[in-house]
Amino acid sequence: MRPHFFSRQTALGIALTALLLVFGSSGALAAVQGIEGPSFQLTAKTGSISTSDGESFLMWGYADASASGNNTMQYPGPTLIVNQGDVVTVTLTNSLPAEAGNTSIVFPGQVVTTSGGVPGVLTQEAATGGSVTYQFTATHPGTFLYRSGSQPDLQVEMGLVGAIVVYPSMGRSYAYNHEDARFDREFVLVITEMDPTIHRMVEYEEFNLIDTSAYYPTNWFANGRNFPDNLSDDFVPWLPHQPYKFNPRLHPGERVLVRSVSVGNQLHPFHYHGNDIEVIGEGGRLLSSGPGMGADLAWQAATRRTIPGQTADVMWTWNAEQLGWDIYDHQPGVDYPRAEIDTTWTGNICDNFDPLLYEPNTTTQLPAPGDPDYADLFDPFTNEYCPDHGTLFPVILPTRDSLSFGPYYAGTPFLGGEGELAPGDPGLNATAGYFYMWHSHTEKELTSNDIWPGGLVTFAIVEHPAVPLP
Amino acid sequence: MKADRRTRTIGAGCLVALLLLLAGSAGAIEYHLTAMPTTLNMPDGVGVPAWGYAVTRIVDSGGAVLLDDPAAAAKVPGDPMVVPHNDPTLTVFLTNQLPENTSIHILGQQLTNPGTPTFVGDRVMSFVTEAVAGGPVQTYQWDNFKPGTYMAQSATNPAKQVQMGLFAAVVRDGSASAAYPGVIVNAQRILVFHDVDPEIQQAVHDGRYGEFPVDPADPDNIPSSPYRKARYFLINGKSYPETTLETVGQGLSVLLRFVNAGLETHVPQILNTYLTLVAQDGIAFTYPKERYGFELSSAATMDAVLEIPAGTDPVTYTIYDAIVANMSNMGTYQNGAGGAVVKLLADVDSDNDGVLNSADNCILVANPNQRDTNGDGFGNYCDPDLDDSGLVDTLDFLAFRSAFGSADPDADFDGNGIVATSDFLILRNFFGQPPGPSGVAP
Amino acid sequence: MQLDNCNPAARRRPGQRKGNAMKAFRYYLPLILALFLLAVMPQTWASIAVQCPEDTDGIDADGDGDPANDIVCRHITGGDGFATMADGRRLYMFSFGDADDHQPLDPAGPPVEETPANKALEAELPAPRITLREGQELYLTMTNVSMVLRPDLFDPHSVHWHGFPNAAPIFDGLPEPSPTPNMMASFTYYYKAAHPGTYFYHCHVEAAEHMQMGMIGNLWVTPKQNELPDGTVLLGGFVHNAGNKYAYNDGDGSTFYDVEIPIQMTGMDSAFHDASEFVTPLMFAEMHDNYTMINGRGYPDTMDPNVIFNQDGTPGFGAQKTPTLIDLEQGQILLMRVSNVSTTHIYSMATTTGVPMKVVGRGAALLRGPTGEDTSFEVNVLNVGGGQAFDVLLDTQDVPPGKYFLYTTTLQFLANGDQERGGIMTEINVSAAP
Repeated sequence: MRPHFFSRQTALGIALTALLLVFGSSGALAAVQGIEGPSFQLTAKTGSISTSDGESFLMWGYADASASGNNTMQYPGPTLIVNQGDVVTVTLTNSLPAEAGNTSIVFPGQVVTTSGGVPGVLTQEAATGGSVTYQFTATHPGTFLYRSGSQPDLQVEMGLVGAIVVYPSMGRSYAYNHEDARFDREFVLVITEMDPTIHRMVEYEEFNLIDTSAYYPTNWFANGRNFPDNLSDDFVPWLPHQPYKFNPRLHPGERVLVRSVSVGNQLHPFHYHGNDIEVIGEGGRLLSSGPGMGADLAWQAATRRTIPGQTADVMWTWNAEQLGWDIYDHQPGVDYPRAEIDTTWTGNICDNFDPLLYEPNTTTQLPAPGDPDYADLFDPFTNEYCPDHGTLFPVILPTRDSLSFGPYYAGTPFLGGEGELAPGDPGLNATAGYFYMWHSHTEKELTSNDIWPGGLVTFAIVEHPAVPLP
Repeated sequence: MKADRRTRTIGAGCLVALLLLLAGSAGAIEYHLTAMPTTLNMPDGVGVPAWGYAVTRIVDSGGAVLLDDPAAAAKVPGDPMVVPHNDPTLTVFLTNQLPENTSIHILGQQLTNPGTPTFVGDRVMSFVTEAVAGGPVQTYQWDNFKPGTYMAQSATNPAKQVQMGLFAAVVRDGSASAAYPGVIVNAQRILVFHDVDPEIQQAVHDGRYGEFPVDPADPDNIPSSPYRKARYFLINGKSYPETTLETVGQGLSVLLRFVNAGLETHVPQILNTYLTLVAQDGIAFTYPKERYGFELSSAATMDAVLEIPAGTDPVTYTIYDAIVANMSNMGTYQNGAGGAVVKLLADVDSDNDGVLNSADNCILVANPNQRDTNGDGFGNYCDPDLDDSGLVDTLDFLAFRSAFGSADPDADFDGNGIVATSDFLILRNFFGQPPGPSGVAP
Repeated sequence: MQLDNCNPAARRRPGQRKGNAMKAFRYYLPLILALFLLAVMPQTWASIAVQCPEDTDGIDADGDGDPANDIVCRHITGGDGFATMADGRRLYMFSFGDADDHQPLDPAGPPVEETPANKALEAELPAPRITLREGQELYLTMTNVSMVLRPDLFDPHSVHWHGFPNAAPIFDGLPEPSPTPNMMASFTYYYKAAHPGTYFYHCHVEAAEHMQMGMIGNLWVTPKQNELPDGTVLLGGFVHNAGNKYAYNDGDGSTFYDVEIPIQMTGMDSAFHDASEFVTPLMFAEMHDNYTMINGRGYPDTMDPNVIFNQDGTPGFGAQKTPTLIDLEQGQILLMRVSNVSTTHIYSMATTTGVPMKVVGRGAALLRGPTGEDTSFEVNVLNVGGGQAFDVLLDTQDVPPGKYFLYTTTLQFLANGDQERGGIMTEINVSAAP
């Protein structure tokens, strides 16, 4: 059957006025989950997490021990959110079992002073039951990390890790103090691994048998959750120690910032389906040739190796540019009024686009990103790529009996379209969004302790412009 | 246009090569290496069999013998080779005391006399001319050695021989004043990361490695290395807490030359500061990168500048592998950290005598010559404690008085050849106090 | 407690390999094949079809001067087969095969419905290479011819064009948000090749398994700059001559090359492949490549100019068609289209030529910043993770004639399973310029 986007719209009964917020706002949406600074009270303590293979594992992790915190160990630790220039204070209390020994936090990229505690190899440590305080000035905006600096071969593996976001003085729509670093939405992605043998040893209190040099992880996490757990909402009750999801949702054309934080022990070639990424920052520094030059050294790729102990600021967007067919199935020669999406919008979709200037499928050079005419290629309200407006879907899909269907297939190739689902299809994509897998391309890491699927996989979802997003 | 450029430059290149060959090795710095078995001693008491390079002789461009130690022991990594900035030719004389043939090459540098690769069966054994086991010394020469940080390593069955430890850093500054154009530093330190699978190295030592096809009757044999699992993680051949870096002063720019001789990627990271990455694989970056850590893949090198601000207290920088699973010594170092961790002490020179406090036998008194006639670790300038009691007291004064006017070296605190009033003033200053302080006294 | 429980090193040293007895299974292969095809094929033939429209729009989208050649149609199969490792061992694999020799793409070929029967066990390693010109449209039909040796499996297959910018899920090959063709069915993927570069494609169905099993091929898009008129002067005075080739639309000739070669690094875990062949449980956690390869061959097979067949005695099928022979005249510039498609390891690579590798492209994108800043870089060692691709120039101007080597500095992977001095390595022969 032919997809019917607009009838789907009506059926959804979406409060359309809410969309004004989406398109009218210039500020960033979807603030990151975490706790606000500049002072933090963290406790290192035990808890257990669930993995997608149905197991649970003992962890050591950080809990927000402040008055407003839930004092619950979480994996990864709370994301620490501060502003550039803040004097950040982190007080760590060691509530780990005595066998864990001292614990501590290192803050790579920060100049830290310490008070209290006892000396350790990398920094001052909190003895069992004791505390230590770290202080640094967040001089530079960017994405950073924190993790245990005590016996880190064991303690980092056990879960004592977390991310730090330092917002620039330009505000919370920016990763750095430059327009190149502006984003519409941002998401923190903390990547870790697990060698279950080590966790069982700790659980059975066989500390003397632990040999971290035999480290052999068999499970991989995005924000402490395996796929598909990382698609469930933040703070769902069935994952009390894994509060953060990783499931970016966006509208076409929005700029998404992924704050990639690698706190574990392995390099992962992390692959972004759907479009190339643009890496604008590494290690808390804008990729710039000099002050004021912006992200002029940014680089593109479909896959980036995540480096242990390192962070990167990765921009991603998706706008169907040069796809060669109309993702909304608009028919040639038909006007599609914007009012069918939002009554406050007048005119027809893509009516600003002058096809005489930019014939689709010609050798005429279309304006590239950065070109002042580039914006002319897109509908200003829906971000539809106008040169493909009304270009027919290029192939005939096989009949249903020839195909297998995934749970996120909405029965239609069109964004926001409507299609028939196969019998038994769980229908996990009611809004007919476009699902893109973001995952480790060391594909064995798409498993959780030998069980496929799982591991370091998640999906980003591009939703139809009319689908409201938080 | 393209073709023209090529024809022209190829001609010139050939001519240059010819001239260099004619010039021979005169003026080149010479390193005499012996490849031979050794043992890597780990902090947990395990000795892992290894192969290393011993530097037995170094002759500089002018013919001066800088080192002559025929009995030198092999090391892993081999001692760094330094090619002078003003003499770009490196010559290595390789003696092979291993049980098999070997050879040497440097990625990114062109061997002037590569010879012919050696094949065993239909597969290459050595990329360049071999030094035969127990055979004559083999000469390897690199004319026009490019400035930067490089690694010399075995070019023979590298999965086995490099893994066993046959590698050494090779560095050359770009000029008298700069490591790379514009990179002017006061000090340099080399950090070679590497990783060890003790099972494979033991198997090589025992002659149980490399059998193919595998005889099922030899279950302990290890045929090849894809299942290698590194268990020790070393910096300059040592594992923490035995790792060391020579102390540096403050207010300096220090070039840290990182080399990964391991078979795994490592991620050097520094705490409490940023580094400025200036070159990778000996090739300067167009735009230096400010980073607190970086990926260092197998056989790669990275040059990073550490700016140490001037201060009044010593500062210790910690550099470690951000792959923190590598911070152990076969898992046996409990309640701390081991493996790939090293400390760099940035020391102060409180008396500005050119000797850093940690090496200064008079920390607060300027004594560039470090004169210490009684050899107690306290320089004479701050050692009126003539009876070594730990305190400058009346007994010391009495001893001083009896030496007054003599040439007694111990009581001649200022070293002017006579025990005089100037020495008495020093004693008076210390009266009632201990000698020193000294950075080297036991 | 078994500390090394999950460490393959502790498990898979010699003498512990899977039994040879199971190999007798292969003798029954023709019988199984015949029964299988009889049982499955008749009722599903109708689903096998190739979609290939004609290019009638009169527009020269690829800029080569011919307005009628902008549509490229290819037909590949998804199925199983065997590959011969450099030590002589045969491994069972899944991959794509080439069905361009069937109707309608070859009007003289057999009917398209016969594709599964004719192409059974003709999977190739790597999968057939696809090369396009920027601006062309690709109609890529993949017919799932089923895994003949695994009648227990009913897996669909898919094609994922890795790195395709602004992909739509319907043609992205992910089984979760799109339909994938069942056995004995075809699916036609459509791509408009708007961006030049070095890509690859692979099956994304149960990717850890299907990619480990071998379903990966090269896919390149050449830039429109190749089609410029003879004598065009580019930035910096670089003169384009007809026939010049570039990796990207660099505008200044900086990605010019004389010779190109794929360097697709990968690996196979023989224990995993044996488990698949003999229908024993797959071990994902222990997956660990021991046969490492360039373009589907370990050294020295990388140097074999011929097709490598997968059976002893009778010729079998020439599944491995891609040697990695690098023969250069001094002064030539080599473009290495480097990728890593291993499901288990990151590999670094180097050459012994003594000259650096200039990396001009990464992830099918020219290394230029958003404002045109040149972000290309030179290295002696290039680290490549699974799913990464790089365009690497090696300029032999300063390389004296001789024999050099390209190899992985992740040295443990210089092995063909138990055989050392193999794996990811090939030779570079530089001869004197004429």
